[in-house]
Amino acid sequence: MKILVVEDEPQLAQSIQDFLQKEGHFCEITDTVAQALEAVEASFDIIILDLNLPDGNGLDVVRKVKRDNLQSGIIIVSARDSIENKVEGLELGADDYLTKPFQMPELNARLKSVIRRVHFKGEEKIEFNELEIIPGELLVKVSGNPLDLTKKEFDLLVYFIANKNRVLTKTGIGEHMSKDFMDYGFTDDLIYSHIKNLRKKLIKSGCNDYIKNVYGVGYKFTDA
Amino acid sequence: MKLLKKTGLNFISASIFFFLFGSLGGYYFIRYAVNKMFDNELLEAQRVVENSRISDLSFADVKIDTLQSKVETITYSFRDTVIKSQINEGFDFYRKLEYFKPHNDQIIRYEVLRSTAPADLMVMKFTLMLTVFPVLFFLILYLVNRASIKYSLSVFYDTIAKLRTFDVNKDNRLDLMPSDVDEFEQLNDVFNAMDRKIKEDYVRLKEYTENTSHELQTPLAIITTKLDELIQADNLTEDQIKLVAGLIETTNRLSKINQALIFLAKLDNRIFANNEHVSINQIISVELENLQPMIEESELNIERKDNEPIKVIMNRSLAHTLVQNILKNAIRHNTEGGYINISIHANRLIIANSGLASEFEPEKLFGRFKKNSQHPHSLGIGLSIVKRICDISGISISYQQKGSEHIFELTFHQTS
Repeated sequence: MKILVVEDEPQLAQSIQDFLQKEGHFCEITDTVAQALEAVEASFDIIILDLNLPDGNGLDVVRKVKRDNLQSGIIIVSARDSIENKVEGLELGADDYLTKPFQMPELNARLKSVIRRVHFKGEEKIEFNELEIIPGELLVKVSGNPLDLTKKEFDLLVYFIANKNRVLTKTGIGEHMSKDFMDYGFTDDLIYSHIKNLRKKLIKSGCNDYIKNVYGVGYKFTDA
Repeated sequence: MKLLKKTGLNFISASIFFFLFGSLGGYYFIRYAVNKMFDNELLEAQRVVENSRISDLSFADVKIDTLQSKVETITYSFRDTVIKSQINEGFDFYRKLEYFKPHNDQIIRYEVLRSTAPADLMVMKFTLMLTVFPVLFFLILYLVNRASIKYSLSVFYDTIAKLRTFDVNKDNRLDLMPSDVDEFEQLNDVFNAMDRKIKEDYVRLKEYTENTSHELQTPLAIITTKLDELIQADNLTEDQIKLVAGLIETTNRLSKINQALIFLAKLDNRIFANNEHVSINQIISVELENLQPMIEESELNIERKDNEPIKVIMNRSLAHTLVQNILKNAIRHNTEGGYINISIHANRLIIANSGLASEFEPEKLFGRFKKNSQHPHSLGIGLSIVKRICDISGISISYQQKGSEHIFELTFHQTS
């Protein structure tokens, strides 16, 4: 995928670029609204957009993309975390809104979800060995047999697969799970319970145990 | 003691003291003056007697005795005396002049007597007047004074009432009543100035907190992403991974605290203004489901009684945050296999949970960064958020502890 990162903080932009390149994406960085407005012409698949830029508001980029009917998915990444800001961004046509500071796997999961929504109209299947996931229908199949998961467990599984072969810390998982509602202090216990339940259900349905514990500090979804 | 009561009491006790001495003094003065008058009359009578015109004496009786003994010095003495009444059984009061006079080698004792009865009545009347009129006078003075002080103090009481409801979070000015009393006017000026200053400082402090928090978000984002990059490296040892994971957790805690502070700042700034009709029962259901894994993990029994539905007008996301924070608090500070009782009445929500006896004083529970030593990882800010949400949403919250049971009671005032 071709991704444009609009971020004025060079260290953060660099980290995002490194990460995306490792994930196999082509990634370009700009750090001003003016540059971004020019760059979007080159039809990127995804634009990762900061709002507080030195020469203006990143929302101008969203307006231009929508006005020119460019087929780019937009993820806003901003330190502004009020509902109003989110609503404004999403109403203008952004596909997702992530609040800083964010965890890299979170951005990755959002990115994949936006790619699915924008470029496959949500009909893409996620496949991982015997697992088959159809996000649009909240459906999980293990070797063709449907598996009954709660919304949270489903969400967790998608998150794991989006970040397969990466160490996911409990902190990051907690952050991901609490993203839907304001929450301060999602505990390790809760994360552990959710993962334990997901694991149990997967193994019971005959799926391999892909969720590996990493020295008690996190998990890794891997078949290695 | 109220100022009015205090000054009134002082006034009255001082008055009683001075009236007492004043009227006593007055009585003796009049008595003295009257006696003086009688004495003069008696001396007049003496002259009449000595001129042997006793028949002319109409206002005094004279008794003349011839004494056998000799008296060295001739003395005049004025005295009060009592003589048995000839009309009834009582006594009559007299003023008496007694003197001795030599006459043909004999000493004659003269006693000139004058009844004081009419004057006694006068003295009594005077004394009565001396007592009653000042009492009446001072009573009226006191009442008038009291009313006037009360009127002047009304501004002062108004000031106190307004100061009592002073809330640094509210935008409205203190607006103290003007007064024609200079002291109160000065006091109100000082308070008005203080009100402005406090609010300015508070706004500046809020801005500072908010700006700092926002500025911290980007560096925190950088640290978080770099640490995530680091932990993905293949060649890390177990110890190193644990170290990095520890750093990630700490950084996350830092950003959580930061977010919580931003959130509190937003609550203070009334950003969550869009109120709507919210069903608390429904929110409790949603949050219980969200927290189900945590509840199962601690093997807690949830007993829920929806006696009546609660429908309130408030911000929906705040309602979620409120209920969730209280429930999470009830779960976190519970004991394994304990219980949570939720009962819902028309405008009251009571959440009681088992737990350990708390070391907190109830009123300090809602303070920021109050933590239980058994839970070092909790931020200690959840209940403070709960309190602020209650404050701005017209909900009163109370906490009490009964043995090992902790009870939160919320009363909703903006029901729909």
